[in-house]
Amino acid sequence: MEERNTHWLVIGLIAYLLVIGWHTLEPIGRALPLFVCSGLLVLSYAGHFLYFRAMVNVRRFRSVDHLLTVATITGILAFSSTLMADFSKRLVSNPWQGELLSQLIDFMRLYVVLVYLLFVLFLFKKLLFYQKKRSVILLWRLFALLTITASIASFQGFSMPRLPLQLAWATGITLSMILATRIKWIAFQDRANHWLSIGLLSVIVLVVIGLWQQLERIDLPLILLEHPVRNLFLYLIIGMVLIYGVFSILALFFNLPISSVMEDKDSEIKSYQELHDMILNRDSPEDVFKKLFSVCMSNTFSDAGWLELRENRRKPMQIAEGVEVDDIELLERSLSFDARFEKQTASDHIYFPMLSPKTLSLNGNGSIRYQSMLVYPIRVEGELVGKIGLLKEFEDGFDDYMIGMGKSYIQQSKVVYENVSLLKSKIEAELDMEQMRVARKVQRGLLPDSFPKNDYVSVSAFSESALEVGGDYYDFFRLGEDRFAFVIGDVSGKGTSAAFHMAQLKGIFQSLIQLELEPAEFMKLANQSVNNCVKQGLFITFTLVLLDFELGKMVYSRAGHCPLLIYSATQDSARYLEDDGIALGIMESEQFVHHQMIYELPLETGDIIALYTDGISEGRNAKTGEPFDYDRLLKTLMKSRFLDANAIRDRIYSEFKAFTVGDLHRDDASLMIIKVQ
Amino acid sequence: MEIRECMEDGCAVLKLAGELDASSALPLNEKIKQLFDDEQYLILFDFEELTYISSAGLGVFISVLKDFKEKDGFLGFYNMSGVVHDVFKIVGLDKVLSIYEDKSTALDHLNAWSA
Repeated sequence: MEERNTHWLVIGLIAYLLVIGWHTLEPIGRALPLFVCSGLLVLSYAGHFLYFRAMVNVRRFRSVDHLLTVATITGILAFSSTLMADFSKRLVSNPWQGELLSQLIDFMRLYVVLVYLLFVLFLFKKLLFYQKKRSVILLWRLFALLTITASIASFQGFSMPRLPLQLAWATGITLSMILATRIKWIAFQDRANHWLSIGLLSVIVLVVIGLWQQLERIDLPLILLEHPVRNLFLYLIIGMVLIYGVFSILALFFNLPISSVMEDKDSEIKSYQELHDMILNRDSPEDVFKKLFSVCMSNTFSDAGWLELRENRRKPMQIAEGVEVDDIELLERSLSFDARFEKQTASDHIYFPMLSPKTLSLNGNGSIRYQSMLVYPIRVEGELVGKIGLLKEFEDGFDDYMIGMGKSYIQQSKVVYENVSLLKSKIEAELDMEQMRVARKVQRGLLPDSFPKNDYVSVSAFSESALEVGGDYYDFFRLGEDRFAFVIGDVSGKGTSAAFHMAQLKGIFQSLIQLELEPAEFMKLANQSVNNCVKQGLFITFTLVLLDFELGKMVYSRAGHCPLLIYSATQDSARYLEDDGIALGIMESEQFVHHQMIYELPLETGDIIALYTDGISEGRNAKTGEPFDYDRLLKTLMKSRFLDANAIRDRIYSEFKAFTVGDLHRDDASLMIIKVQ
Repeated sequence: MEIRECMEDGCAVLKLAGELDASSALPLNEKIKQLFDDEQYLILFDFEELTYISSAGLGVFISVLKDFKEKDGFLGFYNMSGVVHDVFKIVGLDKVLSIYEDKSTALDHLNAWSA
C-alpha cells in the first residue's frame, strides 16, 4: 500500500467531469438515462475514496499535532473556498448564464467538500490506528465497506427501498461511535499539547459543520444531496468525522488532570532509568549520589535540600540547594539526624511534618522559613555514609507516596553504587594484573636465559614463581677463560616484596663478583649489603660456587641455602653437601664470618652440580601431602646423570611437575644444573 | 596454624600447632608484639605439633631476634620435629637461636640464664 494510487484519482476525476458535463450540457444529459449519471458519480466517489486512502496512508507525520495542524489548515482553506464560491454565486445575475455558472460553482463546492471530508476521514483513521489492535482494524474495514456500499444510495432513476438505507445509516453511526472510543493517542500527548489539540480539533469540527451547511445549500437538481439517507456516502463520513472529533475533544478535556499525573510518573520512571544508566557510564560514587539528590529534589517538588557524603572518612562532601549551610548546621544541631540514624539502624527516613522554632529549639532570634522536612540516611553495606535532606516551605509537604519514592530512589542508587564499585574494582584488578605481567617480564629479564657455550661446563636452568613474581635468583659470571662463578639465592617469603629484594641481590652479586674477592670476603660483604638494604625479618639464603678448571677444583660457600647436590663421576654416586653457613641478613658481619665456612672439592669430567631452591625440595604432592624432598631429587639426578645438562634439567623438571601437580602451597622453585665437560 | 598460650615460671609458652607459613606468620608476629607490649620478654616456643615451617615463618623469629637482645629477653624453642629442625639448621638459625630438646631443659636453661 505504499503506492499513491494516482490512477484512482484519474478515474474519479474523469467520472466527476463526466457528471458535470452531463448535468450542465442538457442535450447530452437528456440523452442518457439518469442511473448512468449517478453511476458515474458513485464511481467518482469510489475513485476518490481509494485514492485518499492510499495517499494519506503513505504520508508520514512527525506527531499528532502535526497531523491535526495539516487537517486544520486544509480545512480552513477548503471552507473559505466554499464561502467564496457561495459569495460569487450571489454575484451572478444573468439567468441563463447564471444557471450554468452557479451549477459549475456548486460542482466545485461539492468537490471541495468531498475531497476535504475524505482527507480528514483518513487522517482520523491514522489517529484511530494509534497502537492499533486487530478489533479496530476489523471495525474500520466494516465502516469503510459500509460507506463505499452506501454510495449506491446515490443512484437515481429507480425507487430505492428506504428501510435498508436507514439501517445502513444507523449502523454507520453506531460504528462511528464505537470507533470514536479509540483515542489512545490522547494518553501520549503531554499537557501543553492537550490545549493545542483541543484547539485544532475544534477548528476541524467547525469546518466540517460549515462544509455540511454548504453541502445543504448546493443546488444541483439532478443530484440528491440534501437528505442523509439518499446521500449516505458523504453523510456517513461527516458523521464519522464529527463524532470522532467531538469525542476526542471531550476526552482531551477530561484527560487534562490525568495527563499531569502521567507526566510526573513519566519523570519518575525516567529518573530510575537515568540512575540505572550510570552503571553503564561507570560514573563515580559521588556522581551517583549527586544524581540521586537531584532526582529526589525534583520528584518530590522540594523547595530546598542538601546532600551530605562522607565516604571513606575523607573530607565530607556537601551540596546545598536553596538552603544556607548555616541553616543545615542548625537543623543538624537541634535535631541530630546522624545520632538517630546511627542508633536506629533500621530507620530509613525521618519526617518532620511541622518545623517550628520550638522543635528546632531556637531561642527566639533564629528563624527558618521551611516548615516541613524529610531526611533520608544513605547507608552502604550497613554503614551510614551520608544523608539527603529535603525541605518545603509549607507544612506537611511530603505524603507517604513521596516518602516511599525517595526510599526506592535511594535503594536504586545503592544498587548502582555497588555495581559501579564492583566494576571499578574489577578494572583495577585487571590493571594490577597487567602491572604484574610487566613486573614478571622485567624479573625474568634478571635471570640469565642462556649460558655461553664453552669447553669446560654446560649449564641449564629453570625457574618458576608461585605468584607472578618471586624471590628466587640464580646467575653466573665468567671470571676468566677457565674460571666461572655460579650463584643461587632465595629471598624469604614470596611475591612482590621478595621480587624487589631478588633484584637487589642481583645487584649485590654482580657488583661484588667483579672485585675478584676471596670467597670469605665476598660472603662477608654480601651479608653486610643484605643487612644494610633489607628490612628486618627478611633474609636471603645464598650459595656461591666458584669453578677453577686450571686448578681442577671447586670452591663453594653455602649461606643458609639448600645443601648442594653433587654427583661425582669417579665414584658414580651423588650426595648432599651439608656444611656450615648462615643465611644473609640475620647476623652482624663480625659474627657472621665465624659461622660462614668455605669448602673445596676436586672437579672431574662428568661431575654434576645441582643448585636448587627449597621450592623444589619442599614441593608437595597434592594427594599425600608428602614433599618432593632430597631423596627424590637425588634419585632423579642419578637416573639422568649421563644426559647433558639440558636433558637433566628437563628430566628433573618433568618429574617435579608430575609430583607436585595441584599443589596449592607452591613456593618459587628454581634449579640450575652445571655439568663438567 | 593454632597458637596456644600459657605461663610457666614467669615465661610465656607459645605452643604452635600446624603449619607456619606466610599466612600464619602475621598472626604470630602480632602475638609476639602483644607480649612485648605487656613487657613479656621471656618467650618459649613449643614446636611439638608444628609440622612445617616456611622461610616466611623463619622470618618472624629473625625479625624479633634483635628486639629480644635489646630488651635482654629470652627466646627459646623446644620439642622441634626433625623436619622443622632441618629447616632451622639449613638456614643456619640453629646457631642464632636457642633450641632445646624438651621443656625441662629449656626451663633449666632459662632459670640458669636469669640467675
